[in-house]
Amino acid sequence: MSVVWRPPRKLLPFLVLFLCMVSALVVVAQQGEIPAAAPVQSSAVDDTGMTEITADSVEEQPAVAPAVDETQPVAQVAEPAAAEPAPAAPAVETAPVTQETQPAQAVAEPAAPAAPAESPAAAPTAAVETPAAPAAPVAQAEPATEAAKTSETASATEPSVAVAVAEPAAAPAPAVEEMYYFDMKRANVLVIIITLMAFVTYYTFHAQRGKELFIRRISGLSALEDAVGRATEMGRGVLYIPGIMDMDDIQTIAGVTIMGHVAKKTAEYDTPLYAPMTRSFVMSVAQEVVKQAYLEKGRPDAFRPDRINYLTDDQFGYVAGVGGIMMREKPAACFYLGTFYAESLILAETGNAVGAIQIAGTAEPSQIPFFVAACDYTLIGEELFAASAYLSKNPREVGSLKGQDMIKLIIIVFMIIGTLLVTISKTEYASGTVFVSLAENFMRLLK
Amino acid sequence: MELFIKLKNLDRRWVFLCVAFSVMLPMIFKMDFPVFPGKNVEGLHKFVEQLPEGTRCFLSFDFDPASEPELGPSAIAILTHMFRKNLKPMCGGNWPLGGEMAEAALAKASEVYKSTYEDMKKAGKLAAGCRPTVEKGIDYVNLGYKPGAIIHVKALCSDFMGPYPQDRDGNSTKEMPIFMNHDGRKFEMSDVGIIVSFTAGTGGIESFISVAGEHKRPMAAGCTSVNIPRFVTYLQTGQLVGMTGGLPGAAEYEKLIEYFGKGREGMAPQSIAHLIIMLFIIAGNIAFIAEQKKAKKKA
Amino acid sequence: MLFIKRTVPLIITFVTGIIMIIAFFSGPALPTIKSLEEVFPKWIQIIMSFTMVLGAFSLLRINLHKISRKADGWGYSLVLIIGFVTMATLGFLSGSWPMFEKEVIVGQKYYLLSENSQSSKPVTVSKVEKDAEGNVLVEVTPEGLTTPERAPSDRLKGGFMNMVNSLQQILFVGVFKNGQATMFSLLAFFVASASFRAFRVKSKEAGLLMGAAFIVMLGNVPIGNLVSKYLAYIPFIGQYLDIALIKEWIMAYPSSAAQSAILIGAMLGVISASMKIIFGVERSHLGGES
Repeated sequence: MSVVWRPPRKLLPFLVLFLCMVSALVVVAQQGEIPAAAPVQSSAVDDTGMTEITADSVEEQPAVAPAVDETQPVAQVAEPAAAEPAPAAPAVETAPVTQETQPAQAVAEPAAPAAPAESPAAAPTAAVETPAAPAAPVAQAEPATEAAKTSETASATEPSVAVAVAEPAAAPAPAVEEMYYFDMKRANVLVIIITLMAFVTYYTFHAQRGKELFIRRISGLSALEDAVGRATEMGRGVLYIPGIMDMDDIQTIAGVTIMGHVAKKTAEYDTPLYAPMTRSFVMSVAQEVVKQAYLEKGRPDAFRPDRINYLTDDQFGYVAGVGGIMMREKPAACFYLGTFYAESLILAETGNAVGAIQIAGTAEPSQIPFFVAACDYTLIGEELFAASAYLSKNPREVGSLKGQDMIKLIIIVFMIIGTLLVTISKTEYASGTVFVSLAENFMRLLK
Repeated sequence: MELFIKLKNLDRRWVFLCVAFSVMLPMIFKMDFPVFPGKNVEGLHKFVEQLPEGTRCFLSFDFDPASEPELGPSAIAILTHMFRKNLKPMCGGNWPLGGEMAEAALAKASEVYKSTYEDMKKAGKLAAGCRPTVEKGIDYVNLGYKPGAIIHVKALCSDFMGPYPQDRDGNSTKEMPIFMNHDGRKFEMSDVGIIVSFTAGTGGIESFISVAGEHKRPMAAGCTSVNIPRFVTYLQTGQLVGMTGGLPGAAEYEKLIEYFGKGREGMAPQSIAHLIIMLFIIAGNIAFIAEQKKAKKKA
Repeated sequence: MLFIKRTVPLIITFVTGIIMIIAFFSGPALPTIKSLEEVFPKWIQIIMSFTMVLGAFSLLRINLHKISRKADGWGYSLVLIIGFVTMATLGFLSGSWPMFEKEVIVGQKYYLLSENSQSSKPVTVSKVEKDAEGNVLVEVTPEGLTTPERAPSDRLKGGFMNMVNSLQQILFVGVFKNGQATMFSLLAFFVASASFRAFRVKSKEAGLLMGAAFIVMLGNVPIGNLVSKYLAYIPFIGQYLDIALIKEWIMAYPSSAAQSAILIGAMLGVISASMKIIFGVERSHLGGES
């Protein structure tokens, strides 16, 4: 440990982790079997036998003479590909990036385990079942013999005709299906989930032992109680919409969770709570949550299930109905917390027209700007999921927030390292140096 | 200055009225603005241009009537282009009304193709194999809506014909010439030259991108303007070969195929409406600054 | 009761969550578990469909109650009930009529629906046959013409069903689709009013946002190219002021970077929230204690 600077104890695990990663990369790069500075672009034909199609590969198709066929006035074979490199250039330039950033995207958007995601290695199976053959343009409804002759001529003269489909394999691969228990292609997802859970568990225990964990102020959530209070003072109601998707959407669950907190406030202040729903299942859950909230506050008599009702599944039919409710009931506070799409601005503007204070929250990036422009407070992305922890101050939930923040820090570090490595490896100074192989192996780690 | 401060409290119905006139008047007076195709649309156009004649293309109509004004013109322009290049579009959908949207787009595209056939032929802009009309089952097919989104797309990757024993009208797809291969092989996803998804939200092009590792087909998207930032990332990574974004994207594609459709018609109203909105924002900010100055003076 | 309302759902959530996670990571050596990855979502869709009945009954009950009490706005409830009953009846009739349809009779007059079902024409059936797949095909002659045409038999409708179909198309295409488009078009007006009200340059960041918004709005429409043409006359920097290019740069880099960042944060929140729900840490959605 240097006497000039001693790193804080809390940062030590991260430093160790970072050094281990860098060391691992260096060790891997120095191994002979992984070629340094190998092109990151995929080869034209991979082991599945399928051609990866880009504009570049379309250009590379050899020129094919149009078939002459008196019964078929339409030429069936591809015309010589026009050599126009300019439009293909963007595709070529970005092709190396495809391999690198696609896995990054897979990391950035991890599918919830319950959601159907990429299929496992069905690709090799599919490829094996499909015999490699040149793709032919569709046969016209003409005598098959003529077509067969034409295509035979075409395939005899040119090995590959059209863009799509596998190129003829030199030696057909034996149809052996690998049986494995664990899909290694998804290993990086598992690593991220395990790391996240490790941090969440650590900080949850930390919080449960009584340590105070700081959460920054989220103004939208702090204003929740004030908004309900304002509605009570004005003698008007509160409108709550937990999004327009069904209960299988995690944002809807977050929205319903916050609805419970809002319902406790409305029970306490005896403020009418209107909650029109677009899904019947969400209506049932919401009724139960609100009923429980009213029971906890000792106000079961004030619970009105009729106000938590189903309107319609149709997006714009629903927003028309909610608009009508807003114009008639004139709520003083409107909460939009969940998944929203095109109807977000319509709701927000209608709420503004009736003079309501509006608090919105969604993880849909395309709708956040509309809510930010039109609502008084907006919860952006993750803040929606933090709401439950923020409002309840439950140590377990607060600890999980902290764990999430740590994994975000790691992702940021990875992004910075990856960006630096790839940027340096692309410069002329880096050719032949360790940076190129480091960049490659770093990207391979993320794949 | 007082005028601007009064503007700050302008009833929003005046704003609505101005927007309404800014959209209606250019349409009534048939104003036309020159369109300059952008990189993304040009990329898609050039890719389709280079596809060999007879290539089957899969178009997924993942939108409903609400998004039809934005995505319909793109679909019609791309379909018309495909007909002119003697490509064979196969249309499906991951949204319930996708089949209907496809039907409308195919009907319009074939009408445009037929009406411009002679002119295009004279100009030498048609593929050699093009005929004066396009026929269902031979030149195109509408396979209709199938539920499941990403599950359906995965099923297509393993067995394309499995989910589609019939087209939308109930005709058997087994005997359709569009699905026949020269070598008698069953039609597979690997025979598709490009996948184009017209996406209004979920269950669209992202379903295909998620399983790109399985199908490995080039992909392109037509999306609503509000989703452009979401899909631009895919263009940068090369996962999409091109994209038409909203009505401007449709107008740019129509310009490239020399067709004056709803996209280009909509550019004049859209331009004027954008200008009006910008004027209102400027007016609002002038009012805001004037009010602040007034408050400072009073203080 | 608490066991059924709280504990059983928690157990079911935990078990199915763990099975789905295992299914996600498993390979072909575990085909039964792997197949659950595709089967479970279908089961969810089936279960969700049953809840439609709940919603429909709730809707009818509340609005009928409102009509009976002649509460404020009961007229809207009446319109809703009429629309609900009409569309439901027409939908059930046209969907279930094949159960009652008799065989197609040669020589009988029917109505042949167009491919998009939006129109029909009177025809006479001249031949009935089955194709290789077993589908029934009919040969029909339109009224006033002599050239027969072939069509699938399910597009042939009797007089009553033709009327049902026409009404359904009028309500769906004429009312519903146009109503959807109308509601969507409200966005254009609301964008203008929201921009006018909310976009104030209160700080440097807001000014930056305003500048970017102006560039993107101009770059998206042909007027942007016109403006770029005039800006090109500015000495030294004019040639770089291509609004469309700057707009594409803004969309491709700062904007998508911000979107990706929000998405990463949101997805981490989704993972964490999902795990908390699976492991029973988060229970607020079940009602009551968190």
